Amino acid sequence: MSLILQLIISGLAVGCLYAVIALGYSLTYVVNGTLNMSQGQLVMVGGVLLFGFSEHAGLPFPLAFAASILLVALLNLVIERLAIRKFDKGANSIEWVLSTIAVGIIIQDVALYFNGPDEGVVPSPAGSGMLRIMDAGIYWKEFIFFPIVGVLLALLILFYQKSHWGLWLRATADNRTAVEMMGISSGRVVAVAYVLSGLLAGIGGALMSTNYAVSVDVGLPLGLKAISVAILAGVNNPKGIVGTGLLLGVAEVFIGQYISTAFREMFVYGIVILVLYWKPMGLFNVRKTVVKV
Amino acid sequence: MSKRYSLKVWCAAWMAVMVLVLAGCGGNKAASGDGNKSDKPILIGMSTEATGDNAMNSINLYQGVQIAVDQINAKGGLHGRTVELVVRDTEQNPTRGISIIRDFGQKEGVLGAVGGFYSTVMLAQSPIIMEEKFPFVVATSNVPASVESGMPWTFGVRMNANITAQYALQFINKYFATDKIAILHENGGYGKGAAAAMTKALEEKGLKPVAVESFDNAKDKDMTAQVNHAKEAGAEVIYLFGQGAGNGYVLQAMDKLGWKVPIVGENGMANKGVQEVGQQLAEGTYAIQTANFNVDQTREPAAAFLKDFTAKFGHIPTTFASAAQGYDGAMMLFQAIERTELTGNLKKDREAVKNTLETNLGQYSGVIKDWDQAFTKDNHDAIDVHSYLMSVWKDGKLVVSDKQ
Repeated sequence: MSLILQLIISGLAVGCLYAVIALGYSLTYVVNGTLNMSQGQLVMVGGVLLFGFSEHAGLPFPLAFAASILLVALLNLVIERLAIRKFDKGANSIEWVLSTIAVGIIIQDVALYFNGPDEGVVPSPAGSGMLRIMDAGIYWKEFIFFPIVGVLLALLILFYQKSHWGLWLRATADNRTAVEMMGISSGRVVAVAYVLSGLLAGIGGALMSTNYAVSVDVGLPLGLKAISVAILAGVNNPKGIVGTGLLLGVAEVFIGQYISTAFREMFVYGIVILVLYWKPMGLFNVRKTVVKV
Repeated sequence: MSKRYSLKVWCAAWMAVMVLVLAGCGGNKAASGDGNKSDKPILIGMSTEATGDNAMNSINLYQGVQIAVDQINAKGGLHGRTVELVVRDTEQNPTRGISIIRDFGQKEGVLGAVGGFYSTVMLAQSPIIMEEKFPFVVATSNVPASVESGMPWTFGVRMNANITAQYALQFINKYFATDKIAILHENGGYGKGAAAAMTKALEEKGLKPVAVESFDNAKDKDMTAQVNHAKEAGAEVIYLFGQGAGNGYVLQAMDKLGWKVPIVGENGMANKGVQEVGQQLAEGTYAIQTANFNVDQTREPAAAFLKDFTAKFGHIPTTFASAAQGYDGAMMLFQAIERTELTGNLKKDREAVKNTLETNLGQYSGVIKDWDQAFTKDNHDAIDVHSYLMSVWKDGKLVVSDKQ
């Protein structure tokens, strides 16, 4: 029993990271149909910045954390201006795929230049103590991932439901032309979506760096895993994305325990493909352009 | 002379001039190996991993080689010519690693090369080095096949996985009195080579590992399944061959499962990532090395190396064995070049340097130890069981273990 519980909580902790990063993909996709392929590298930047501010510059953790995620959000705004807006020419445009992949490579190279190849972990304010639940263990620094993801999801839903910007964002997702006709700048709405997506990437990277080693090359594999989560869930459903992220994290650990550790990735992605055969629009997707909150 | 005939003569003359010009270009290109009297630098290839999750450790090898180059050039170079490194980043990509060897062989015209940190790339490079025919010093990669298996052009100043497994098994038997060993390894050439070597070492004693588990060092962050399999199999020692943070995640999983057994690894257990992730969990874990720079250096070449390294880079090496092996490997190559009469014909000079390494390298006093003749025609591995230095994590530092 304790082994099953151990597998579940270990998988949930990793799944939380997938969920936060995947939410970032969702925000931009629903608004203008673009996925920022450099999202994984933005996550890396969040972690590397927090490590730099906290360990090298000696800033207090809250200040380092805030500075890191704000800088990543700002960086994503720049990406939207330079690598998305120019290339997003409607439903059939794919130029942004190449431009954002290129941005990801540039970000990684610049990070390597400034940070070097070192890997580092930021001491978490939650400490390095262990929480024991029926003999299963989870570090407090991992355990706090759960409430943080819950709060982020709740804030995102509140933003969609209660704020003007959230309403405009949903409206832009549904009918961009109609939004423009109402006098709202859809370009600004898209920019806001990218800033929020950057914030989530920064938070994901900063969270990650408190328990897992960050180095300049951790972004791409994480980004690919998170994009799988987003597509598997149905990109327009934040609750579905969080659920799918957690599910994928747990599935990975169970596959490792009961099927194979060597072929874990192969089984995970095999399941993703099978599910998409069954539900091509994702597990929780209702209609492509509507944000389901 | 008719107009048509005149045109033909002009064309023929033009072609002849072009052929001569091109031949001249070719001759210049191959000039790095030209004779002792040339004043051109001697080019040495440096194949390294400057990007990717191994970069932090690989850089130690590169830095070790840089110190060797600095010291040699400070003494006037080789045959009165300076030594110049041609540095290339494999990006941990075997395809890129292969094209680097082709470049070294055909385009850059290096006399020899050093490299071989990332085993997956090294395995791909070895057969290409055999085709390009220049001496290449493998200064970290542990996979036996990259130097053994009829590879006449590669020379190992590295911890051969087969020799390491023999050493580790003796150590485990002596100090932990058990043969119940679980192998946890990353799924690249480094980990697979180590797993195969330890399995072979156990099989020679009529035994087998109680569990063999792999993980993806770049992607896997949770090792609960791997560690639990080892625990359920009754392992009393873990032979751990991941890199840095990956090994740290194994320590975390053991902590969560409330399971503690001795851990023995190699370079992957020696780097900073283990400490960063594992923190106090790394205490008491073992890393097989060939040098240790956290203690006073009793050997004169080691002290000089450490002094120069610290002066140049502002810190001591972070992966001891790779830095020491990179330095000693480069120095052995340089000594072989110095003892070889260069003719100016690159092909012949490469062959001659290879022969010197095998038969006439002579005594070499290095960071790791003293060698009488490090290589022979039948043995291209300079590191043997007597070159190892068991190190252990203590108070956040990797120090020389009392248990040797």
